[in-house]
Amino acid sequence: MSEQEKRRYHSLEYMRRLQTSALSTHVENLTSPEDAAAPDGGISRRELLGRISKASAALAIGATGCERKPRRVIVSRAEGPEYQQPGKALHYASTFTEGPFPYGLNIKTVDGRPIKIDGNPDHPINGGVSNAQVQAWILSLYDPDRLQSPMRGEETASWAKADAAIVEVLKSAASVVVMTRSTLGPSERAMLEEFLRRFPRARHFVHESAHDAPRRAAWRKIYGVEGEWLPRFDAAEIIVSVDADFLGVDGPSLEHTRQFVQARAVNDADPAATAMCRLYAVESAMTLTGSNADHRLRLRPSAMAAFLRALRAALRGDAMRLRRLAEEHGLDERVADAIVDDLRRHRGGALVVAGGHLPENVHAAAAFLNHDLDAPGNTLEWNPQPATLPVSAPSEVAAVLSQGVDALILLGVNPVYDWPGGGFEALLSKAALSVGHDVYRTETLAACSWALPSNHGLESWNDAAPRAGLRSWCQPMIAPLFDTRQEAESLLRWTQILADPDDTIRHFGDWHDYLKHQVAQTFADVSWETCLRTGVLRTDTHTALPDFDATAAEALEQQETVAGSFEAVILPHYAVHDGRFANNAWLQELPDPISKMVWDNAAAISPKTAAALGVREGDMLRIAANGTELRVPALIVPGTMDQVAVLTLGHGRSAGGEVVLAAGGVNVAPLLGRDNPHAPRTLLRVEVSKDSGRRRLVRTQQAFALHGRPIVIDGTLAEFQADPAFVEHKRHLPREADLYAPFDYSKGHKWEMAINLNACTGCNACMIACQAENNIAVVGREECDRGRDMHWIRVDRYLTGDPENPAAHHQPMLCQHCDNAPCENVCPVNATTHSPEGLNEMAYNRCVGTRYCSNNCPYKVRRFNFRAYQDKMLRDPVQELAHNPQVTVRDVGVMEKCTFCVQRINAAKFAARNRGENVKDGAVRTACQEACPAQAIVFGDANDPESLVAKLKRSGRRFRVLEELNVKPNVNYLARIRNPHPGVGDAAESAHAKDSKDKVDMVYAQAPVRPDPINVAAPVNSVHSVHFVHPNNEGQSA
Amino acid sequence: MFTRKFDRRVYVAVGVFLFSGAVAASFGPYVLWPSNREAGYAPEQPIPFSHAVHAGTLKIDCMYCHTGAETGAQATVPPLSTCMNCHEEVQPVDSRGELKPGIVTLLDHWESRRPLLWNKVSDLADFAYFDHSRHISAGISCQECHGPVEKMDRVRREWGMKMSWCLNCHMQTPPPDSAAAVRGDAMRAPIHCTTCHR
Repeated sequence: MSEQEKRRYHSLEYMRRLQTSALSTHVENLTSPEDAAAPDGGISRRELLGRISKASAALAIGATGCERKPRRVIVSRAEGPEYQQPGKALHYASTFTEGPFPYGLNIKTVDGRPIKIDGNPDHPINGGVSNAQVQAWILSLYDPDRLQSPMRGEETASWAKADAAIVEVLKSAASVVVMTRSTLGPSERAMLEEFLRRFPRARHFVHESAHDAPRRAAWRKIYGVEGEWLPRFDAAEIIVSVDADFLGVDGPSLEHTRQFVQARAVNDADPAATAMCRLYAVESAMTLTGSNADHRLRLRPSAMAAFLRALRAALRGDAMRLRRLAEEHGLDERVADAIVDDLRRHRGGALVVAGGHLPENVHAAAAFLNHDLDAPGNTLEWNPQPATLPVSAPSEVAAVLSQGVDALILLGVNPVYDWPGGGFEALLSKAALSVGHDVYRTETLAACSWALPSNHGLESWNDAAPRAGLRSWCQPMIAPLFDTRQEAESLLRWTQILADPDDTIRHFGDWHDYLKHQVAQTFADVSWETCLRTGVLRTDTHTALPDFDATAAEALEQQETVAGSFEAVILPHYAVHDGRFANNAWLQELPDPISKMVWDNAAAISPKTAAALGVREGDMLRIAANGTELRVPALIVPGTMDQVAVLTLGHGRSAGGEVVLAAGGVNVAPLLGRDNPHAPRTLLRVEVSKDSGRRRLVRTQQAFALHGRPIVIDGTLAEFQADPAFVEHKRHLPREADLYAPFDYSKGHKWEMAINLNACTGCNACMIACQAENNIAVVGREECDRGRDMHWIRVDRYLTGDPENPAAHHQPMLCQHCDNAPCENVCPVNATTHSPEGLNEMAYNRCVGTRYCSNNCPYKVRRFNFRAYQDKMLRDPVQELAHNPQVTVRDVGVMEKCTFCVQRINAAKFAARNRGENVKDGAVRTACQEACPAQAIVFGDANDPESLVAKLKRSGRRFRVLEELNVKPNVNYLARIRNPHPGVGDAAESAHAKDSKDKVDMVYAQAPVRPDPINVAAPVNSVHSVHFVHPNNEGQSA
Repeated sequence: MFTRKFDRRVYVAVGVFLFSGAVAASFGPYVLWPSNREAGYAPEQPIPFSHAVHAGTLKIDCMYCHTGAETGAQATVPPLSTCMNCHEEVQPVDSRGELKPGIVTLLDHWESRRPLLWNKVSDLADFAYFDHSRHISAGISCQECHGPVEKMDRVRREWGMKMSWCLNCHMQTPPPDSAAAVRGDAMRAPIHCTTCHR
């Protein structure tokens, strides 16, 4: 619109037009309700005056051309895509290529931009579920910190220039080294081979810092072939996990979680028929798996092999070794005996898994046990084609690179950051040409002579082979946002230039062409369109079990483990993995499932070790192993083995984006692998001592004691089978006394949620799913420290039992949508109200920010925008696109909280009503429910007696948190059932016993950096008086 | 000069005067500034497309162009290819026998495949999530909200489209044979906050 037109709009003429049009429409539309004000068909005096005054003001200031409301446009494209309707979502199948394991995806796009990622329900490995990293991948796509064009040193360059310069060197190159991640798709592998064929001395190395190389190497030696065992947790009755965090970071955890939860399902209708597996965790670190175990033993990494050997001896009748080992390491003998007893009884249904970071002899011992127990073929399946390539030995890579190569090409790896022992820069500088290709300008790319920007996985074509007989595809959801190119595309271009004129490689137009050709060759009878539509393809395979070479296994098993007084394990981080997700703010702000720490990593040590070292949480520790020395803050985590430090990878990065720099932490990669090249992540000789200085560590939950309150209710299987309604005796029921007449919810819908604590593993996938769906802000480390994190759903974790080896209880906590909501009564502006369908609603535009509601909420689930957290994201034209258009973005000064994904409820309801039907059960799935790997969350209409949520509500395990307050929450929890061995006491038995409370508090009181409100002031003998103090700290309630 | 009491009164009067002046200066323009959220807003469009001709005289169904209204939240404005379905053949000329300027613009955009930017007339606030399909399938005619579009040469905003205007309709008793009446609802449509705000 031109300036002239704008002025005309504000002119007197406009005023005249305004009035005449108003008059004429009023005459013509006598039926409209607004006409009541002007029965004579004219315009009321008041309205006329108002309009004249507005128009004259417009006349006075109209020359400036301002308008009060922004004028907006509707774009008519020349030709719209036929299948795409503005504002309507389309779903596409794809594959998660960024993580350590390729999961199948179902991606929602609106108006041509992807906005939400979930699991592909047709994918046999992850089904429809996803994890935090999958959910957070969408934020990385719209990350303005991504490398946006090729760079030579500090200068940007064009792709043509980069290609010319690189090919010039490659033309005369003899020795070429390509380093990649271990998760290459089959077509990428073929492309890479095609490229390397052009050079006389070409090498392909695989680099990962968080890998299971020792385990794979042990299997290779024992079975003589490349491959991996796939544990079948759904078929297992007894699981012994030796430092294997299979629910967390070891292997395809989504598949493991689905299977494990299936094996632990409770039969509410027939409790006696409940067949539940039993999990024994023998761990050095407190892991997610350990927190879900029925019995947990603490053991040093160096003793794991001896433990498994002793177990085998005990199974064969020699119990002395196990007894001696238990004595030496302070293991609970009853638990050790129980393991032997269970394994003996469940031959064919038992399973031993060992952590990928443990040395080879542990895996040999585990293999012996599994073969003794008849696990192969029953609870173990052989996969001859693992998803990941075997990792190259760092010593071999260093040997090749130190001689100097003509070209070193680094595809998606960051060895300058995570090279075991550090010092990759020296090797890099020996290459005549170094090319880094990655999504971010990482430490490695900054050191390379050429830094090339890669596409994000959501802008890429690719394929993946998660295991034998399974293929999945990755298709772009959006054209590249920046001047980027896929790594495989670069390889293809370079190969084409290097190839002879009549080489077939020259026939391919681009990487997409090449990929299509590869797929057509492998699957002749399946169309490319079918592949893309389904996203996954299964072919029949039958794999024979490999031959067990007992001699080789015995030789491996006999390897000596020599340990010092202090040991350490280095694990991938739950959120940022090995650092590849470090620039994702959602993941940085995702609390660690065990320690609830955000934006940092630290050395987790046990309370006893902390006391012995004389450190408090946050005190710096000096950790030295083989000449490398690091200063790492101490984090006190009950359940960690004494004299063991647990470190995580992925933090302490120095380049690659704003978030990376804002995050804290220490890069522990320099400690990797010097001690034992075969198990770089297990350090057997470590020196740990107290160092000067402190770092304030930020946890989002600071008190972990239950104080005997029935916030989390659980019981044992025996208890449940004896009395299916055992929960009734532990509940505190309210005295029904209402000031107001109760509202009749029996008509229409009544939305309720049921959370099955028996399934929940505490993995945090729901938190990021909610963040992605509901445009939840990231607040940063400092604000988290003030208790201002914004997550609408969080996972509370409580610890009970032995303070040194506690049992953990995970509990997702979100707005409970109380029918007697305390927040609603105190809102002075009626911004939070109750819907006739049982939702506690929040009208952001009404909220004036008094925070009374948050103060009055017993669950502490309301989140306040203390600052304009979204401003930065909204101002960035690219980052802004990550927002879900179906949900309002909240501004400073506004309260917010879980809405039960009301946008999804409305969409399902409207769709059903438009068809003249009722909403079917399962048509509304909340974001947390959709993501949950354990499918622990169920949402639905409780008024429909056949709905799943209504059925779960009738379960004997149902309770509600703080129900004694008579707030009538609409979130139902189902008690967790543990399955301890009958011969051993329940590890969490003292959960509600008064005598354990003081002990627990004593230990946990050491944990927070600052005084904890509960531990300081909790009047424990009066249960009711402490309800309003919630572990989730004082910030939100201040 | 004057009594102390009088002085004080003068000060208070001056203070009140200045204060109200400041209030008027800060809030006045906001209140008085013309808004395109008011009834009667009828911006000029890049093509003087006449609904009176197309929907009125030619009686083309609303859904022929606004295809999304029945199935989605947005009614959608058609791509130029929809215009060209007819205007490939029908190219009206003015009295001098030349193509009408609007048609010239349309053909120009169509041939160069350039999108056309229409000025939005019925623009709800961003925090209100309106769904066309729900209203259409409940039997609400387009005119009930958009006014007699089929008589408008240039589309004009018929109502202010404020929340009270929405509620006026939502709160009516449901027509006897409507789905809401069958369900036994007291009102024509729900009025709780999350119906529109989320």
